[in-house]
Amino acid sequence: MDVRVEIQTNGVAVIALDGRLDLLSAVTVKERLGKEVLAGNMRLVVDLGAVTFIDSSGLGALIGGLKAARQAGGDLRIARATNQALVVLKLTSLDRVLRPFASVEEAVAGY
Amino acid sequence: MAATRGALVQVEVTVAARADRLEALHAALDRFWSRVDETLPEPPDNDWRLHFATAMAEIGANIVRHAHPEGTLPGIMQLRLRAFRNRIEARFADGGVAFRGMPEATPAPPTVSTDDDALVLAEGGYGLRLVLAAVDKLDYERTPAGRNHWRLTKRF
Repeated sequence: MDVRVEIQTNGVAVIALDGRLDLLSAVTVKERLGKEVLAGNMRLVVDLGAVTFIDSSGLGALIGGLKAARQAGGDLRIARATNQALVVLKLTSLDRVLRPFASVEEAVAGY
Repeated sequence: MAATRGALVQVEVTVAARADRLEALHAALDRFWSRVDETLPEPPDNDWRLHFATAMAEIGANIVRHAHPEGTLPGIMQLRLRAFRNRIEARFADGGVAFRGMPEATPAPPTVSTDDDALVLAEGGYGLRLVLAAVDKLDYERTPAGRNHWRLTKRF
């Protein structure tokens, strides 16, 4: 899985993932999210637009990132979730804490 | 046709039970859907398929994580996908460690209702609940020969 991080002018870190967010990549993604929080970028937006599939391990990585960000006084938002990601979020009720934003711009705006 | 016992479409794949081979399960499912589209008069829609794919991948990952954890001998898993007139089934077989955590015996993850709950959220434990929510039936059996058999069933 490719992970690209871009810090916006308002300090929000946009993390764009590309590929499958599953058992193979979850640890890497969780570590990367934690690293951003440790570096002081506690307001995160995870761009899921190019994520072809998410499983429960991938979901765990996003929850891990969310908790790390919230503990530091920030937050984690997700943007551009695909239909499969929306299915996974809805079936686990995690869409209540990981509210999906339609675009990265909407997620970054008013952060 | 006797070998498929009434199945209209059947696709099988055998892969190493490793996280970096899970993609082979997705590839097999893609081949299966192509055959389903050619064969079934009313193939399931995309949302239905996403639910099935989510459950199938979850069981595959579960076999890698729990039946073949690090430090155990490398193993393989077999996946057989079959379409019938009224349902689709995925059967997995592997020779790894027995699974001892059917969801009935697993505590439910905390209920998520407010933002404050996020700090106590579990980072794991969603897998089998996700499967049960996505398909109609999940069966697991440890055979006397020491093999794990999983079967997912989703009706049309």
